[in-house]
Amino acid sequence: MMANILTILIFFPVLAAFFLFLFFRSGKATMWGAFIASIIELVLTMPLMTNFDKSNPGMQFVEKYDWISSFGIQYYVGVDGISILMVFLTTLLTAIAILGSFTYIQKRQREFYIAMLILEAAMVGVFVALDFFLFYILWEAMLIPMYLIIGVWGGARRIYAAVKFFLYTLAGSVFMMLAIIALYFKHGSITGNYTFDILAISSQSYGGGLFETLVFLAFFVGFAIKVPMFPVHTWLPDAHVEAPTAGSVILAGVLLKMGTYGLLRFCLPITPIASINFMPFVAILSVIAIIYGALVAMVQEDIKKLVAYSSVSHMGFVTLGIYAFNQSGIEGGILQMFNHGIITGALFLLIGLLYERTHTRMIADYGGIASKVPVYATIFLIFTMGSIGLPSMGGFIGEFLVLVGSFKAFSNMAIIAASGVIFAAVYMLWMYQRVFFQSYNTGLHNLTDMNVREVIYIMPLIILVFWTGIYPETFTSYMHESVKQLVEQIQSIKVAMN
Amino acid sequence: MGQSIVSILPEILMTIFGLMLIVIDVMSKDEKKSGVGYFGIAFILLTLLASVPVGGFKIVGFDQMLVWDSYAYAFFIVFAIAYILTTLGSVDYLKANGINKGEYYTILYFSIIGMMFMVSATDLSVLYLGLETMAIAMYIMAGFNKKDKRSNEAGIKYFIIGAFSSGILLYGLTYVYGYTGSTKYSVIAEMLRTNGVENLNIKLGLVMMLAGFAFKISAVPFHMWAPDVYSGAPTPVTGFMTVAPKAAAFGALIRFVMVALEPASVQWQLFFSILAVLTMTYGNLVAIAQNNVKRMLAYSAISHAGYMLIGLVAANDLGYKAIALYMIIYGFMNIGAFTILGQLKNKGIIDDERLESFAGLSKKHPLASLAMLIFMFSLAGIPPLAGFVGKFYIFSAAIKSGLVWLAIVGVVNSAIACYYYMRVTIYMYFKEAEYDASIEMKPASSIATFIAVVFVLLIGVFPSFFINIVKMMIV
Repeated sequence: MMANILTILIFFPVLAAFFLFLFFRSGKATMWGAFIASIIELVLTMPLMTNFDKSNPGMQFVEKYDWISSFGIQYYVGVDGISILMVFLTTLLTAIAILGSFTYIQKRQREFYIAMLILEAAMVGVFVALDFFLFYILWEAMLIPMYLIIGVWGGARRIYAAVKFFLYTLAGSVFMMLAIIALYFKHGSITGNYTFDILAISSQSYGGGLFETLVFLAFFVGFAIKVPMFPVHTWLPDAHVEAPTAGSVILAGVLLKMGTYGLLRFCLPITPIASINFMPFVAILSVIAIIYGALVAMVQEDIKKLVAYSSVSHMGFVTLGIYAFNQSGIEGGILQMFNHGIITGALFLLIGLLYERTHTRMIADYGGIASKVPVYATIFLIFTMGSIGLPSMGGFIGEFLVLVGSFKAFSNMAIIAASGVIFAAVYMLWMYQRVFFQSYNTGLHNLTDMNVREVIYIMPLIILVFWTGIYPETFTSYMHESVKQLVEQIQSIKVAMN
Repeated sequence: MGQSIVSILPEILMTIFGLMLIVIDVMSKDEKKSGVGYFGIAFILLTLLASVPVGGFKIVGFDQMLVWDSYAYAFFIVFAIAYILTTLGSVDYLKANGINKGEYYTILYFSIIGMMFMVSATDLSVLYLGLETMAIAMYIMAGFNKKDKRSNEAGIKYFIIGAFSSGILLYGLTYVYGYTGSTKYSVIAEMLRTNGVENLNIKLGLVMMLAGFAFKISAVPFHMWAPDVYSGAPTPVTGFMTVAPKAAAFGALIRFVMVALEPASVQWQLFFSILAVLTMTYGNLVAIAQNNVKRMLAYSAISHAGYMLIGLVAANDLGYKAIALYMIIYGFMNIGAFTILGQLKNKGIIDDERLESFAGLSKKHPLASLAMLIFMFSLAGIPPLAGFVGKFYIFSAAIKSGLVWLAIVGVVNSAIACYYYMRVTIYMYFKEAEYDASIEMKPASSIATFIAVVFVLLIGVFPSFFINIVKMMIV
């Protein structure tokens, strides 16, 4: 079973969805079925985590079969230290998002949970795909369920948000498709081996000329839209705000990470020279995203929109860390990806359950609810602090490593970026103060505290946010060797360029 | 002589079966006319099986007038798919509209014989005969709904403009013949190779011929007939017309330009690359503005012709294989969409095919809506659906020939196109019903839709089978 664990992880949710589609007629049964399936999927991830050989920088649990042999397309999957945490994050957040939707999703439940499971399969697949064709298919296939989740179960402006999300992402990724095809022919003409094998294509140098620059830009645009980096971030506030809670959790927790994962997996190894050339450009965009995201978050009146803009800011740290091209920067970036998934996912869940009770997300409608819902206020405070980057919590370690790494690479940028941490404290604490303290808004008298189910699904996230903050080695140990290999590859090219 | 007979054996078989079809039509009762269609399906399947190609075979017949090879066979598969799905999708439509006539299936069937001659032709006279056989059948089909004014209009319009374009094609053909002294592709190529294409007469002749072809594939600016004819014709016929005659025209055009015009490839590549850009862009931009789904799909059909032209401009073996594969895939997804559209009935005030009729349909008809969603996303080229595989091949062909700019225009267009395909899904899934609309899926159209959905999903995930079919193709 361990040999095929990745295939099982990709196809189990699809089969489960198909099974639910065929045999489950009621919404409630489908809901429980989907939850059990997502828990099984999460449990299946555990042997992957424990059997992973941390001293091996290469791909593990590799599976390779011919798929479309006339085109050199294979079914080729594997995980390394960079992707394994993302797989874990995906299965964890999907299970939590499904449990978190039990009362939130009231209409057309069957379709919702089936869409969630199909989405999960595609997301896991994106992180483990080692064949460009497979990767691209899964990357795009995610769009359809996510589009439906936003469009059917979303808020008032859901149609606009769903279409915007879809078209933005698609517009970015079609150029990626051309880049993939161009790489296929280029790699084939250089080596005589026409293949979509990502590792084979990565191991070949493309000379750093116009070809490499264009390929880099095509990939970069596609990933930058997904991250999202400034100035292509405008789909994010709409999509996050209008999506149902589960949709927001998955969007912020997993989908955004695909952009930064793509930068790590494709842009750096395949187009290293262009990446190095564009390093200042990416760093500047990242810093703009950090500051701009934070400033815009500060003036938001909608809690969910505030968290959405904070994502732009936090993801700026990730891209900054990755483009520092050193061990601490990239490790910090990956850890920040993981932490941001946990913390922002949790914040969206918390906002969602508040919205379920009061049907408003406006900061001005709240005030003084800390006394009314003490458990909720406490948990919300934990994740607020996590988002700010308080030491002993995950957010701190990630941002700290990123800042250390980027200070070595471009100290000016790091200094400006560090101010983003302060801004984060301003907008998060100010929001917390206006919602939970100050004078009590009497319109909220039937506000009830969190119930057992809600505490249960938030609990794993609380544990993880402290775990990554206090003993990050559990998580960083997975990535040391893979990141080291990547950094050495980039640095050797950098040395050769000088 | 023996070989000549073998080279048209599939057509002979089709014709004999076609004559039998007429007899069956005469013998069957008025309310049992659908049986003619089922027999037609059986006959086409029999011919398809009987003429299965063995390896990369090529049978030249009648002193190089036509050839039966794996290339012609691949296009025959497209025609067969189009016929089978259209027939199944028509049965209920014809009954509902009171035009359940046996000749519907027979004429549809005979048009395919014309198409088969078109794609096997290696001689201008055979090409023209095949083209006219197909075209006359299609004029009748477009106006088949006699009681409907718009169908009549479509028939007349198609006939007049079609006859006009055939005339232009024929006129160009005479110039080519006059200049080269032969109607055979190989001789024309030889003449062009030695004498070049600088002579005004041959230029004029070729431009008129290519314009005639451009009419048939509805390439902008020769597309004027398409939107009205496509939206006026009976819905299943429109589905057929956007696939089979277009595939035939592409099949004939590819053979003509790759064999006869091989020495002038720089010139026709330029000609068609301009047409490709215009066709994609115009088709997509105008489709966005449509509120009638049938008309929207008509414009989308124009834009798809533009994508396929990219494969032609690429002028490599991957390119025409991509076009054949694209046609197969397009046949499944587009005829599938038209089948559902044909069954959509709106008891309200507005036209059946209006976008508003789709509002909220996913609640009332979850399965039919899911099928429509799959067709729409497949047409938009979203993986893991078949439409993506087709586009992927087309763009690969372009990049292989170094036509990156054309591929970029293509992908930008397919991103734009997403919007109007999505509008159908927006209405079906995100909006509440405004009118009392329903999709009445009877057994025959359900089977057609089911087959189409299965193949759209299957080709999307396991395209190898159909890729192997087109892989054997050699012009």
